[in-house]
Amino acid sequence: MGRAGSAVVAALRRAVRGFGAVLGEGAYPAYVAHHRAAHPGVPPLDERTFWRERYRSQDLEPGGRCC
Amino acid sequence: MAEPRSTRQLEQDPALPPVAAPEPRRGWTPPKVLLWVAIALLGGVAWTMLAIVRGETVNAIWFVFAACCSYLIGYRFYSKVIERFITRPDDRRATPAESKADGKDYVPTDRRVLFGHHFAAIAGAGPLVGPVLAAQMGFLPGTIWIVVGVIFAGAVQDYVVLFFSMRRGGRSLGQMARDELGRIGGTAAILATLLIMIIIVAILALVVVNALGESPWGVFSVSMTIPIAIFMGLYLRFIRPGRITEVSVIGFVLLMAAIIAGGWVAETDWGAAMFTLDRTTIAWGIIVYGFVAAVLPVWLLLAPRDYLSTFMKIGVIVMLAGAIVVVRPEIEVPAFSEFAGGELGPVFSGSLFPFLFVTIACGALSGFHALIASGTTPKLVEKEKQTRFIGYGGMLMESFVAIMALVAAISLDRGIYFAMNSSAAATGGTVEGAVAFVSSLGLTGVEVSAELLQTTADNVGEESIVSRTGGAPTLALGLAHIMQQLIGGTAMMGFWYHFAIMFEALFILTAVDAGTRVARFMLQDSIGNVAPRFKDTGWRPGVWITTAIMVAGWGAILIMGVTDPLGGINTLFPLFGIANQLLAAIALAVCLAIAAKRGVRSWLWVVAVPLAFASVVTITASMFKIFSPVPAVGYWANHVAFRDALAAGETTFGTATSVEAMEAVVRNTLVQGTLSIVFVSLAIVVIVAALITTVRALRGRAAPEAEDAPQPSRRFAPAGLIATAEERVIQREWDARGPREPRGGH
Repeated sequence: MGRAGSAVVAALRRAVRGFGAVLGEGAYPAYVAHHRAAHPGVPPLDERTFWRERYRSQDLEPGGRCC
Repeated sequence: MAEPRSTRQLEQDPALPPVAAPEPRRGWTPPKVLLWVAIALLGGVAWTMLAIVRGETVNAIWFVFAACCSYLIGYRFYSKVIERFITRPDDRRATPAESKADGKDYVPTDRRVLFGHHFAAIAGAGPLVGPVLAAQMGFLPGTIWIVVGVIFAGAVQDYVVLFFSMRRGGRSLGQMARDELGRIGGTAAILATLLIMIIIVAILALVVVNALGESPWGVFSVSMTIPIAIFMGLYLRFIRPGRITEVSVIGFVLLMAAIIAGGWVAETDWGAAMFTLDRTTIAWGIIVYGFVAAVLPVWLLLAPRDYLSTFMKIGVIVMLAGAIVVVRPEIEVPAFSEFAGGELGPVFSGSLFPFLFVTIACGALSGFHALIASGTTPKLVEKEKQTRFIGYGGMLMESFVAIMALVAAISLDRGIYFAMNSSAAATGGTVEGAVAFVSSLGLTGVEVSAELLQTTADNVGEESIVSRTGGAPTLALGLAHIMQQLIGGTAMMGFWYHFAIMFEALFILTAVDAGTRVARFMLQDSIGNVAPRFKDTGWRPGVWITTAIMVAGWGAILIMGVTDPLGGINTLFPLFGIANQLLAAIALAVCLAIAAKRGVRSWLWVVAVPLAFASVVTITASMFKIFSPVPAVGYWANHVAFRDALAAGETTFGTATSVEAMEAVVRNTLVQGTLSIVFVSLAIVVIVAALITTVRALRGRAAPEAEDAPQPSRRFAPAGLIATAEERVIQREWDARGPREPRGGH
């Protein structure tokens, strides 16, 4: 194990995170980062509210899925 | 070519490291040359094995090599040509994701993550079904069209639409058509898109219905996806918001449990009684489901099922690719089958040209992608040059999925293939009927015994595999056939078969739901021009009315397909392909006009050639469908034949065994024939409008293109999958500046 083992673990962790990102998991951190940079001093939405808003806007303007 | 005036404002902030990498030094180092020579040689050998050597059998691995080597060469050389002469990206320019960043819709996203996103959005059941049906003509025509078509048509369309939409803040194809072609062309494009969505949703639903009819196992496990998705939705909303990977893993485990449980349930008396449904009942079930799913909030059903479907999509494709490489099945299907020269094959009717090119739509050229490439993806691109990797590369990936589907289908025994894919009208739906029908085809070396059909059905846990048309069951059997050689043997075949059915059904149900929503949204927008209240997408009655109209549209076609005495899928599938390719022609026509307005001259053929091909194929196919005197091919010929038979007082005609069935054929062919005429007319209007705009642009008399004003970029990211040496140097400079600008993805 040792160094090679931890390299494998790190690579696996990156793969899982990448997979999560493809599923859209990174949306909240990206929003918070954007919010901090663009509107410093204004607290960003909490995670629960953010996801509710996100799904609501998808209801109002649906995105496509292909055949 | 002269640099457009507007880019002069793109002075880079001197305080920042470079935002654009210089063109790599044109060094063709010996190792590089050697690598590309090796790729070209391997590809050449693989194509030779497929097209020229053609022994008794051919190994499936050659399909993988031929496709992958061709993709690499197409990506490295041809997409570069498009980049240099058509799109001309400029990384000094901010993408909409950067200039309009709002943390929600416009988010600069890591290119690899966005590639995954985009691929998951474009790839669905289409590339899995078309190649299976096209296998009727042998493996070579389909393989050539999938590989050559994607390089010169499909991937070009996806890339160019994505790029032009990105330059317009992510505007949709319909809006671009209106902006660039004027009112008539724009309106025709939007109307055509709407109708095409209806037919595509209907035929995808028909594929699911055919896969689930009389299959208690399939009905049970696919129905279970609904409570599983709702559970995931509730979990994400009330228990752990945002934990998408976690909930997807839970959902996946539940899904596997549902597949295994389906096998047990189908064995029990109550299970068989409850879940053995005829196809008409299932069709009504999907219609009701489609309406409810499209008006429910996204978080409850659509979004969680979409996570599940993406999860399965990437997993299964990787698994199937691995299995094909490891198992390397021997293929016995001839390069050109006996049906390649005629127009009366049992799986789909019509001659190789043009019908092969519409039967395989997704995987080679899919107009539907233009809607995705002008939807979410352009709003997430981080740097302009990445559009080549995401647009062109993403489509190559989908093409590879189509090749694998083809390999899975042709690895099956040919007798089984024809027994499964000939309509119930031909086989009578019985094992004996199928045996007699297959031998009546008179194909050398192709026989199927009643025993083989029954054992295969038993192995996959189905009552029968005769006339399971629509492509999905064939692909599922092919996948089960390959996977069981790797894991589990025949004992696992039932699991693998239903695993594949489940995964196709997931894609299709998501497409039905999302397609209905998008079509409803477009309809709301159109009606809103007359009755402004409808533009308010939060107004529930408006949502319900427009959803009902859309569901009624595709539902009517679905019921028509299910009850069609002629077999449904083999008459309707060409309409699906024609619709999809017509959309591609519309998208390419819009792109041609835009390219001409941007001053592209001698390289305009890069867009014009696929446009011409798609137009010729779809218009010819439509003409066959409208004017062919052969009843199996022409809708109107069939219509007239059955109407005359009815008028002559006959009570059976062809495969229709009653007056009601004959009346159904008269009705169905009327609808199908009318749709063909409407589609092709609308597409011709758009193409002509685009050609007029193009000619005016070439003469320097068109209105300028409606691109957004450029804004200087203030960020950097590599263009392709792997960063070049130059890009890595710049990246290090940016990294040294400390925390980077916010970015989605990792």
